[in-house]
Amino acid sequence: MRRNRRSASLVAAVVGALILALTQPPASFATTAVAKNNTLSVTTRSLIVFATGAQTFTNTGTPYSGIIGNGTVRTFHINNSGTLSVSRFTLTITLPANSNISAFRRCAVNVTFTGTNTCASGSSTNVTQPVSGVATVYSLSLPANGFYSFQIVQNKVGSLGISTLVSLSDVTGAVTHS
Amino acid sequence: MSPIANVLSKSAGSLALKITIIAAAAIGGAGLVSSNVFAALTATASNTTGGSVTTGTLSLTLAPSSVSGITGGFTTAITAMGPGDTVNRYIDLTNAGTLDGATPTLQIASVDSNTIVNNPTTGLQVSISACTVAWTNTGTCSGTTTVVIASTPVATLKSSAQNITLPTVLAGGLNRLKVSMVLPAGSENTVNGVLPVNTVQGLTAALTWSFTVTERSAVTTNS
Repeated sequence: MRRNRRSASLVAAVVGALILALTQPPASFATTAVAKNNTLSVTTRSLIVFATGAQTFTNTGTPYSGIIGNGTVRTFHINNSGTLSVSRFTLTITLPANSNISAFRRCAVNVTFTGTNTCASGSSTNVTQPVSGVATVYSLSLPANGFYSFQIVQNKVGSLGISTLVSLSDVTGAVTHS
Repeated sequence: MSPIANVLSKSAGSLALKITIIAAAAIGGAGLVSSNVFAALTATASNTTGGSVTTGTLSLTLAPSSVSGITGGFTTAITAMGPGDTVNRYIDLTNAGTLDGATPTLQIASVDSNTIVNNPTTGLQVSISACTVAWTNTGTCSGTTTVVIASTPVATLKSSAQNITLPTVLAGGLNRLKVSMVLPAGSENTVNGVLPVNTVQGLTAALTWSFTVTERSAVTTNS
């Protein structure tokens, strides 16, 4: 008997709620329209400059290090394997103690040395001689997928280390309409 | 049966007959009365034409500019954006419905999660302006320009829809938009060819742009 009463109450409540729901005014809702594209892919460029002995665009992610001899020519390369051009770069060259540099030169961009002071095309240019362990800024435009070939001559036997640094602040932006 | 019993029996039969006749008459009478009550007369007036009710539509469409040289819109990928670069894209945003819109907003979604879409400072920035006539392919407007949204990080537009100011949200209205995407000039240093942590360089993000309008306020008309 009690169960029947409960069931009856439940049914009454459900029916009541249903009646209330049906007799309520419709809830207000905002109709919206959306316009959307599929996707717009945005890719950014990169600036990846590093030093190597032989010219390559394969980045090791480490400073270049090698052996340098007294009075012998050592050739190395500064490479940009990125997709951004940069107007200058910084080299920190570490030489044997008490080393004196007698020559520091480069070829034109994307031109390698083929021999002592001989460029594959054109002639070499002397550049500011570095102080061992001191960062020196070289204002040379280095394009994406470009390189410079350098030669250094000094008077000690020991290790040669070359570290590079480039900054996005030396990259010039552009405005395009497309 | 005795004579007395016979008389009584006849009387009882007569009474039963009388009761039956009265009951039948009463039921018949009631039937007549009730049929009179429910047989109400009705009259109907209905129109024959002109009763059609048509609802309006709210529709927003997005299309690249048709001006030669600036038809990239939101479909042609931006493949090589450098810090300090600005890429302008030109969009026609139209209320193609029959209802006026209201409260336009813009939101950007991206499945990618990297610095250009997440960092409000070094990541992509977006600004939009509108021109009353078609933009030229050098980005100039010979009419009147309106700021639709000032420079806003994609990170902000990704986190929530932002209100924008469209020149028109009326039915049939056309907005000629110049969407400027800027990658801020950075000061990141790359040492020995290694990009810094959280760099903006060498990244890709797919952006979905959603322009939304809501229906204009409901109106009551007497006509």
